[in-house]
Amino acid sequence: MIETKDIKKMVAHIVRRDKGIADTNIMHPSREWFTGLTLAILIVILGSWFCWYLYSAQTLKMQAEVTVVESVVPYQAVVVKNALDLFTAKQKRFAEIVSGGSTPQIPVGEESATSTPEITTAEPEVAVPELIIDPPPLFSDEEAPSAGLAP
Amino acid sequence: MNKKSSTFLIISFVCFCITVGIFSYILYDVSNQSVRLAESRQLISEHIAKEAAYNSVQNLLTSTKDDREQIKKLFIEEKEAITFISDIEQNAKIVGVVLTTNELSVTPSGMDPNGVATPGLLTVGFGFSGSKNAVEQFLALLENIPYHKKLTGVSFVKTDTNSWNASVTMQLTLRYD
Repeated sequence: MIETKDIKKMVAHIVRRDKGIADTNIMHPSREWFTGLTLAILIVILGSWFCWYLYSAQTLKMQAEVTVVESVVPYQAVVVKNALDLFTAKQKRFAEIVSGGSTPQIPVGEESATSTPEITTAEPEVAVPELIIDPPPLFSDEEAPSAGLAP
Repeated sequence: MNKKSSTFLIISFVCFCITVGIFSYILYDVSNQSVRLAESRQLISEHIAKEAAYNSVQNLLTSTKDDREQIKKLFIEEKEAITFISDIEQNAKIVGVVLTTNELSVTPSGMDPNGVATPGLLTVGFGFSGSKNAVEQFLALLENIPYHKKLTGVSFVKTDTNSWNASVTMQLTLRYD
């Protein structure tokens, strides 16, 4: 019958046989050199990757933070053009009247033949549109205009 | 481990700690500098935007100078009121009506209840009489005065066969520089 000590002896025999020839060298310069070189290369690669990661993160962060607010100067060119056209026409009409031009027909109501005066209120023939003027006086450097009417 | 190995181990550990400390300090400093750089870039961007807006306004002021000169002439100044009345009286003689100035008042600029600035107004009232044609012509002349204005009242009274009395009230927008 196989006892426990027999099994231990068999295991010890097998294990001892797998050890093979014992290495008698204390120093292994080549092995340690390549191990050190491999570790150094790994450290360099990891460090490079970490530095590149930091650089990319900081660059993206800066690109995301910068916001340029572009301001647009409001200028209603169409309104200005319409106003100038309107007042140019008015000036032309004013000059025609002063120089003896034709008179537009104004609705003054029915003319009565009675002796009692008839009062009629009429709206102006030409509806003058409101000019849209921005309140802040931007033009402080301008010259004073000439006084009087400009026909 | 012999004494020499222990010494090398300690020296290596100290060097490692120093290296890690230097690296950490550099990382911290780079982080701070990046924050400052971002702030500086933001300031520079705002400065560039303001400079662009300034140049845009300058170009706008230059390109619209003639228009602004013309628009400025469309508004009367308070000190020009007497000249304006004189010109109107002169034009009344040309047209052929007898003119009297009934009203002349100035409403200074201010703020309305909504907080919107309102310009000053020169309120002028004219009464004039003459033939129908002359009255119509003078009314057309008042309508076409090349100033920004609003006719607030117009009335006619026929007094004779060919004689009419009329009155006009208008509000001219005053210019303020």
